[in-house]
Amino acid sequence: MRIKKELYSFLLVLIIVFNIHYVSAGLGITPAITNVNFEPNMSFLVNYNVLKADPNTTLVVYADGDFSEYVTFDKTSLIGQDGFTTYVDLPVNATKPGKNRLYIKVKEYNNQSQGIGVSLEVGSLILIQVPYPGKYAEINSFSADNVNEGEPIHFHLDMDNLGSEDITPDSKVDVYSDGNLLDSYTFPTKTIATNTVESFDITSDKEYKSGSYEAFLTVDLKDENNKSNVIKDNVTFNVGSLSLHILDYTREANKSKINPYTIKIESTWNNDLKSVYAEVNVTKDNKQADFFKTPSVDLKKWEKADLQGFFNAENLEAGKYNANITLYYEDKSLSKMTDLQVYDPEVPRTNTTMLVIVGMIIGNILLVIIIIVVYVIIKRRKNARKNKFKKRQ
Amino acid sequence: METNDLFAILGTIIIIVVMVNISVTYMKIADFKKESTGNYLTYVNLSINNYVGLDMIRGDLDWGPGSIASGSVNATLYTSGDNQGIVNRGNWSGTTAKAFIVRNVGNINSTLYIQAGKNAHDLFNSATGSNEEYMLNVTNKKANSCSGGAVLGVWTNVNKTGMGTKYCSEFSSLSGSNELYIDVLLTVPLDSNNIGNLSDTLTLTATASG
Repeated sequence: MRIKKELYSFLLVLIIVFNIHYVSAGLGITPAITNVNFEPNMSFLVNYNVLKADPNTTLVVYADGDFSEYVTFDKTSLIGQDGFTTYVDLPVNATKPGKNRLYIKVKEYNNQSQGIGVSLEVGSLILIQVPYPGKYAEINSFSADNVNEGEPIHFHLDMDNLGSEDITPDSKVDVYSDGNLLDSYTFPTKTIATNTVESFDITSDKEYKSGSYEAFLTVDLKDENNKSNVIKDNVTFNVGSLSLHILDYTREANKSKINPYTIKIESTWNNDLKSVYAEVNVTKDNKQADFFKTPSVDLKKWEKADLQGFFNAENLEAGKYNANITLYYEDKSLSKMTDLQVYDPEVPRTNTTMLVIVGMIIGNILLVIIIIVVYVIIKRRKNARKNKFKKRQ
Repeated sequence: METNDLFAILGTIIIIVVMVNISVTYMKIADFKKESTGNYLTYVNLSINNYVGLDMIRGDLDWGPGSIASGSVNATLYTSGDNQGIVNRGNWSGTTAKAFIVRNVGNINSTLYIQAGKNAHDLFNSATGSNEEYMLNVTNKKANSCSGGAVLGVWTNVNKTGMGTKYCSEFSSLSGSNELYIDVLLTVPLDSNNIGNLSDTLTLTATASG
């Protein structure tokens, strides 16, 4: 009996492990997401296409999730890449406010009889937004345009009324700089019907100096009995000036060759800048070692870019040099004096930054040890004094 | 001034020096990092029809013939990514047994579930109810492909209830991070009551995240 059972087991494992396989290569569905606002008794349809399916694969179509019992299809079985239509007949009432997720799924029909297989299934989402009872809204977007000095600032607000009642919100924007309130603006009053999005716009009547500012939005939906129901948002906006920032630059060069020299720049201007280039004058002890120009680049507003030239260090001595970078843009220029270390590749270099870091870490450890030693000495002296005092008593 | 007071003053000075030193060290490390890196990323947005899709990049899993080692109550076979399959207490070759690989070929992130049709006992029905296992281990083939679901890199029993186990709330659609390994582990019991043609289907479900 036992021998028979072991024989069966042997055959069993042989079958199991030998027949592991999969069904097909891929499966997809489009569209992936459909957004719908709930309305009582509303009917709608969505056309779907199945992608990437093997031409011979049988597919099953079904609905899953919220409102799935209200879904019908023109066909529930497909072969390969095909299309189908989903019909949704929503009920009079919805029980769950907010986002309801209805999935339209397509699944490979697997009729294999042995082994372990893989079957693919994909689900498209129908997001049904059911209104919240009473007054409820969300801010879809709040923005403040970047501008240049002297230009008015435009604030834009999109609000989505997701509640069951129409709303007439009070909305205002407070503009801050370094934590100080500068100005307040009030959006025009407008009624937003349920399940609709409304846009609000306002333009400042003041001019701001260049810099970064924060705009804080406060929207009061005014609940029943005029009780405050506030939602907030904030955004940063920049006021630009016709200038550039030098963010970084090459700091080292090999004395035995012509070195690429890179200057990273950033525009602080809210318009495009054309033909920006740099000149670099490399000197040592007030004697010119090299002079080169970079090709010009065009910068979009607030854009960062690299200017790249070539520094010839072939006939120079190793050591520290001064590199005077001058940027040219529009009819302006901007200079910055920087250091440039020319090194000899044949002389082993010590990484000074790493040495400083290691030295400081060791220094910190030593200082901590000193503190512990001092603490122990103080403790011991105190104890000694106490003992001495007790002996005297 | 007493000696203790002197020590206290000395201690305070040392603490201040340590704090300053730590601050400078921190700034130096920040500078060093700044000097050592220089990567820039740009993104281009395109508006096209969105779709959800999966591709089985590797769907074959073949252990070849074999049997449980004499004197053992079970044999365990499991895959390990792109490596050769591993066999304990059995003589299967495992040479070509490698993990399933699934890729998100859609153009939006999706939520990934894996559901089995049977659990280990359904599959083997061992007389003692032990010595049988049927497990999965999901890991990123490409870094950051999967997030927000079950713990990755851990063997867990297959799940046959509902839609199965949610392994990724966000299965990325970015081409550099859209592939997963699905390793399979089977512990085959010697006292199995199910004999003959055994089968099961792992259903991989990708739904639009939203």
